[in-house]
Amino acid sequence: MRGRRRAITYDAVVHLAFVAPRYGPGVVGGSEAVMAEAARGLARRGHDVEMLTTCAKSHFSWANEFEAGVSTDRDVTLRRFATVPARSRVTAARLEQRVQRSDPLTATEELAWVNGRFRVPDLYLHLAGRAQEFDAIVLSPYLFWSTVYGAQIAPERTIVMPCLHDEPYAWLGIVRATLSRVAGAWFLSEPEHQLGHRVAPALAPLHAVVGAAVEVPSAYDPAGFRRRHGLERPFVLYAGRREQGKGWRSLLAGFAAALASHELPFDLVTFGVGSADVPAELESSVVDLGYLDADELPDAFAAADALVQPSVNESFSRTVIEAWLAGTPVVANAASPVVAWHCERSGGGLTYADERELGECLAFVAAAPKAAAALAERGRSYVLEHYTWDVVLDAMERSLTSVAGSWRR
Amino acid sequence: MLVVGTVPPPGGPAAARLGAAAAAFAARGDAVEVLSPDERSAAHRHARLDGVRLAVQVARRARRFDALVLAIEPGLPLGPDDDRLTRALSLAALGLACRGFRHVTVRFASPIPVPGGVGGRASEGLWGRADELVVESDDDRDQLLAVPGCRPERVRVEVPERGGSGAAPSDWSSLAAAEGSAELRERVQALVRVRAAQAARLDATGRALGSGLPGPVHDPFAGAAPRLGGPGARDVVRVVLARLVREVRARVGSAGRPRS
Repeated sequence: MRGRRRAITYDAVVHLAFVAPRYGPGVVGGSEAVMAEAARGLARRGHDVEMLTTCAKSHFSWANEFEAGVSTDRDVTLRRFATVPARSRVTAARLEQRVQRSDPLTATEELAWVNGRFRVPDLYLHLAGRAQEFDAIVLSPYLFWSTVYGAQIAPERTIVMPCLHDEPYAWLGIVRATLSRVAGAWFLSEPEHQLGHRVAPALAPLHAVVGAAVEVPSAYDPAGFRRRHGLERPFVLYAGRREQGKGWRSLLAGFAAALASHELPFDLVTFGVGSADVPAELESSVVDLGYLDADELPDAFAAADALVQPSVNESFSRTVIEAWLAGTPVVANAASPVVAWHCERSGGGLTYADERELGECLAFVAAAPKAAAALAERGRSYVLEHYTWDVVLDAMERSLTSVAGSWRR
Repeated sequence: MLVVGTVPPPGGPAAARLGAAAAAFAARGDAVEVLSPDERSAAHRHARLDGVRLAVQVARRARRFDALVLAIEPGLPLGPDDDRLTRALSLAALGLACRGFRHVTVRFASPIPVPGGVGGRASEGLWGRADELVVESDDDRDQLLAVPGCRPERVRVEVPERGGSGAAPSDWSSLAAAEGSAELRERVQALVRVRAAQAARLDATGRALGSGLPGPVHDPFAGAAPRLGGPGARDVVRVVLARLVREVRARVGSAGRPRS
């Protein structure tokens, strides 16, 4: 890798540490995907990038499923460390409930809450021992032990990519302290940036909206995807974690209501992790493809008549970007400031405020496919203008140079 | 100003025009109250207005309003099955009730929905009391001018705009022309909101009507208006007494009190 490095100026960033709680095949999550691709992209540009992560695959169990140790993933040096489970699940669950209720926690309780999910002391010790070797350390997302503790080690050279959502966790004092302590922050969208200022008034001084990106596929094969998965009817797609917090339950309810009130030709196809747990009355209309390999995803987006994004808790919404890139219309929950911002800024997506509006959006896609395609085309142009890796990596490099320059002075 | 007739949301160009007229009066600063026989109508008050009931409702409001705008529309005040006596009584009573207003405008739907025609002694009194008669076509104007007492300067023809119902189109096909437009998203989004709001109203109406079943319900804004209850006996007595008092005062030569 060092042999491929570009000419380095004094302020250039050479050696980078990316710290993410999960990494690797089978890991589903927006921040994890951005971290992985940003690390690989910066490595391709000649930076020396190490990814420090855990052995966990599931963000529920945090069990060590990958082997600890050092390996290489494409141009990135990958170091995995074993997680340590919480000492008391009862205490962790009790604190979790209080956080969800927005009950105020003492500083000690907040720390106990952070410790109650997983800890990865080996990663901390490794980073503490080598922090001075790195020009910059990038941590993400905001609510995990690896970020909260990692930010204590060398804050002058640390950037947090928080992937903030307006949720109870974001308003913990420990999050405010983390975002205020470090040198820089990367936000994926302007609404997230604004939320960052509200959460942490003394926000990291070198923060920037860098965005995120997806690879632009050279071609799509929607017909092949349909054939491989036996999808004969038109369908709308939900891609991602099938969880309450991501709006999956509300989407099922909304889709059922839409079917009851409109003669929709669509099935609802879903892929991702988590149990789809489809109610019996919807079993004939919902197709769960389970977990799909990354290679399949572009074709899945292209094969859909529309992508539905029901999640409110989005800091970027990668699936929306991927759908637009595939020329697929997007119908999204208006309660997500980030996705609504994308839809308005691009002029390419529709938002719904309730089940009736969801039904009308789907009825529009069914009744006016040409107009829906025209919207999707605007979305694609928007993605190509703002969210290709060339654009995003340029922004990240500018920020990295700025942070590295600040502590070198 | 008292406006009597059907204003939207029940569909139809006549309702849209009367609604637009009422809105224009309100916009120029008049205090407007709309009285409608159709309870779906976005009126201030609803009442049964067929036959002589219209005269009662108008008369009881005469003291509170300077001006009356009265729509003559199907079923208001006469239905196709009303007999001759009913027609005569209804129109005569309405003519009397209109005397309580300083200014009266009668707006006719087209064709003029007065069973038996606009002529006759009873109707002459009504049309003769009006300061302005608004019709929608020259044919309608000619019919009115044939009635003794209808002077040409008081008859105005207001030809409605073609297709101008005043309601926004709520069909997806209305987007076809906007596919290349920069405002395509805004237009689709607006249509989504309008249609969802319509669906919400339908659902609410379904619940109000006791329909707890999921799925589409009948559009309450289509079809015939639900029948409303008429004025009670107390209303009738109150109006008759008021009328008697006024007649007695007039006979003894006392001037009527100025109206607000």
